[in-house]
Amino acid sequence: MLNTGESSHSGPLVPRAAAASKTFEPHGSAPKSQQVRWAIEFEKVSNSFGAYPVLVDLDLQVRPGEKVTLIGPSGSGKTTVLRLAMTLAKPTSGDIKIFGESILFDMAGKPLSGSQEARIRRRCGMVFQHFNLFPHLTVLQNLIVAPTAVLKQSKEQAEESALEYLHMVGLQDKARAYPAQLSGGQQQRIAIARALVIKPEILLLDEITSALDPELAGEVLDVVRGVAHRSKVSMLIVTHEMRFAREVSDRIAVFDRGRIIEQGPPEKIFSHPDSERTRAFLQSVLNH
Amino acid sequence: MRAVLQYWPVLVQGLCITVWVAVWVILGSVPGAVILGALRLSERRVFRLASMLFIEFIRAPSALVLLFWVFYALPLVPGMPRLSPLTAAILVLALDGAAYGAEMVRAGIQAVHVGQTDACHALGLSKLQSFTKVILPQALSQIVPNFGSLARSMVKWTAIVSFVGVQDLLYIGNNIRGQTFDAVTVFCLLATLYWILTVLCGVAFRVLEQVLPLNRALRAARMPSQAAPEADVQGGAQ
Repeated sequence: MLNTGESSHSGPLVPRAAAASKTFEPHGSAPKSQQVRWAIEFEKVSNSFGAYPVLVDLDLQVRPGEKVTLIGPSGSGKTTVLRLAMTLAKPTSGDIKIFGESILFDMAGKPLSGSQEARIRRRCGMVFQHFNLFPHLTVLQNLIVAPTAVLKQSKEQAEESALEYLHMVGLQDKARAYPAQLSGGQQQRIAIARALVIKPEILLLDEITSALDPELAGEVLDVVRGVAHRSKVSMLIVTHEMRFAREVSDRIAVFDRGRIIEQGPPEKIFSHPDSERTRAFLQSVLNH
Repeated sequence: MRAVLQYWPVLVQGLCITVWVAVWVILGSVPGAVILGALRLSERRVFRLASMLFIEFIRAPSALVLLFWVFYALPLVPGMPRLSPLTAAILVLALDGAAYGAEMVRAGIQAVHVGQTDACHALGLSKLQSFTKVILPQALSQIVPNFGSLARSMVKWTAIVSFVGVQDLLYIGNNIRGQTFDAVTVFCLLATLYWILTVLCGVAFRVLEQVLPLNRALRAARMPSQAAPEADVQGGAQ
């Protein structure tokens, strides 16, 4: 895909007739190279819960490698954005693309089959508010479920790379422990390692510190900071930790009642936001 | 008393038949219960409905009536086989156990937190993979204790097989009563033997509960030591 895209770019440099005789440049390959401009793309996405609209005509794009944080009052639709991107929910209308491929429809506009969807969603990983570790498995087993079952790695191979990720989150000595033997902060760090071990290109973080005491939240945020600064993974983050949002984000999008009311670089949003509602929201969260 | 006890070789035979039937009925009902229970929660309405109708169809008549139907009426339907008494009995009782067990499986699956399914989905597991690797192993901790008491009932249900001529404990006991006229001893003896069987069945399920993955994990968490040494042997994640 990428190759055809690039060769069509070089097209104009070659004399037209020569190009035509030597290689067949398929028409319509140019838009393909445009598509991968975005890691995630929401196009006019609406979602409602019964009569209650959760998202209204949402347009949101995340560049490859970009870290975007969604902030806003509770119930403004932030978590729904992540759940839609992870195909944990389906929008009422609109389209969502992961690296240019719709996660809802095939080329003919028909809903994707389970296996087609599974292939695309493999590019996303998600960390949840309540960790959702598998309580009946040890930490190491939690980390190798997906690599062995989905990526078909051997057990040894999967364990080796699982241990590397455990090391990264500073919990290599907990490989044989069960989740119930760990603190909340440790469990969430394991959950981050579990999401990363499948090497997602997009990482979705859904209020990952909301269920934690402040001192435990700190250790989790440190891990995410490390990942954000070191890796090229795109991130879509929902958080109420404004200081953290400011540090890791390339861009902040402010949600209110299912719409983005304002977005921009963190410095701008936090120091001189355009919208009055953004100002009011920030005041309410920063003043305690 | 003496007169009854001299029949012990046939009594042992009868006991063996009862145990044999009970074991097959319990083993046979397990896959049926898991499949029916999982289908009760299928995303497809057809599966949910079919499974529900099947469960209701099996549970509706008395097990004895169903057994008579399969044994006496089924062969009269063109193209249907005449089953041996033992096969018919095991089939009917296993289906009955599956129908009752299915509701336990359904309840057990529903008791697993929905976040577990979300996590499986986010990790890219297929529906079948999440069910077999994550949901069912956890649901077992709910299902097995309930299924244990169902299994104890199933041991006692086996007595109905004597009605189609299977020479189980009840059948033999009745024969001995006919020959010795000592109903009191015979039925006290039978009651004791059934009691022993159900207690043993209960013990077996208690042991089974101990080795369930979630129970082991939670037990390990209650122990003061940090890691469970046997955890990696279990290999639940392959």
